[in-house]
Amino acid sequence: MTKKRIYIVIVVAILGIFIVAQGRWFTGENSVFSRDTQSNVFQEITILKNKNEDLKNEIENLDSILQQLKNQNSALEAIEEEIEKYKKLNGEFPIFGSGVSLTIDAQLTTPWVIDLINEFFNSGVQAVSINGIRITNNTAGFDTLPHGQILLNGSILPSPYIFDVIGEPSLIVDVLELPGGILDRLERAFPGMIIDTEIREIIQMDKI
Amino acid sequence: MKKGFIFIFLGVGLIVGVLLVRQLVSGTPIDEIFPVDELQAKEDLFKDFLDEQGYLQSRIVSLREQIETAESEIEVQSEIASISFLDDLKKDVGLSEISGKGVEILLDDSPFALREGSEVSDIDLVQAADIRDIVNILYAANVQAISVNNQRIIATSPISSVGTTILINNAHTAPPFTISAVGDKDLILQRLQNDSLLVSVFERASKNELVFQVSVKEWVSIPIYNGDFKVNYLNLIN
Repeated sequence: MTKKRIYIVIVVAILGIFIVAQGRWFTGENSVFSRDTQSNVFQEITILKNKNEDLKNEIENLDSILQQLKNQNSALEAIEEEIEKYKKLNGEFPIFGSGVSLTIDAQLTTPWVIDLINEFFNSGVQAVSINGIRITNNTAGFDTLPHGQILLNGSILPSPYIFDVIGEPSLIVDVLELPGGILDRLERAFPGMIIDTEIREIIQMDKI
Repeated sequence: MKKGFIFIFLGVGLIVGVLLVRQLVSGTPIDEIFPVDELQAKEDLFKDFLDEQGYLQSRIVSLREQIETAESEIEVQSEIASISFLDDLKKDVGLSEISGKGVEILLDDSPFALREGSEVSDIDLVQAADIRDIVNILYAANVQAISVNNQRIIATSPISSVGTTILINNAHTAPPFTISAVGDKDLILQRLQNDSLLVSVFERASKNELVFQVSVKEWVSIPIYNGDFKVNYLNLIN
């Protein structure tokens, strides 16, 4: 074998190693970016820490209710407080509060609507409605009709989609507008989509 | 021959250069940059938080049971009509155990899949979106209650992922995922067997990249919600 051929073999071998390494790198890159969010140790720990704080607060609240119930004078008051709390949640009573109104003008598909609503609840919002229909345990799931329209509780949801959200407004906007967040992904999936985000002092939701 | 040899080297050099530049400009984090002790510290911290979370959730369930008992006693003693209204409200928000006929869905990663390390690939892992889609289909089939790995799902339950970790109600949940639902089994099956509603799941299951099994159950029990409720931004319109 001549010297030149040996050089060629060495160079081709090095190139092969590079191509294989690069291919594996690209595979890893795809897997990282195609998921909901990028893996981040600190984010995972922060979520767990915050969740545990919320659970501790709930325990304090439940402990307080239990003490009130054990006392004849305060039992009725505790029951009334519980009733008021769950009336706010079950969707059969109209509610209001501050929050954000997000209008999306695009032909969204069911999975994207599910993802967006999930993102709202993930950011700690307390109530969500889409085109006036509040999402509660008594709301049926989203269905897709043959022509791609979205059906919720027997109503076809037309575009523009209006998502009314009650919760901490600045937090909701921050989460929505995160680089690589849900709105970024929606804009990539639906080029030309028109989004309008409005912080509102009062958002009203009717009973379902 | 000499000229051809130079062209080969130029071509190879160019390709290597392109690959190197691509590598250098990529912002992708390298999976295995954490030293072993940092990974161990992460796992330890995780375990501590998860142990605490398990304890807190069981404490919440226990307190809700005690409240339920206390309220029943008050109802018996004083016949307060509002207690039965309160019970209905609790049922609506997921604070009553629901049992009956239904289905159980097993969703698992491919047997060859890895959730940790540099070889992680999304294709053969259960993703949060898969669970969200199935939960939505179950809601659309008008089920009475849903749980994932014994964690009650309510309308406000976020199902999300951070990297390869899946969080349900912001609590860490690991595969295999058992999704249980109480409801009309025929209607549920009709929906779940419609591959146009779960395109990605059916496609990956057919290639053994995902385990997806549905079984009808005569008895399914869904526990009460063990998380917190926040209502400080909500006001009733009287």
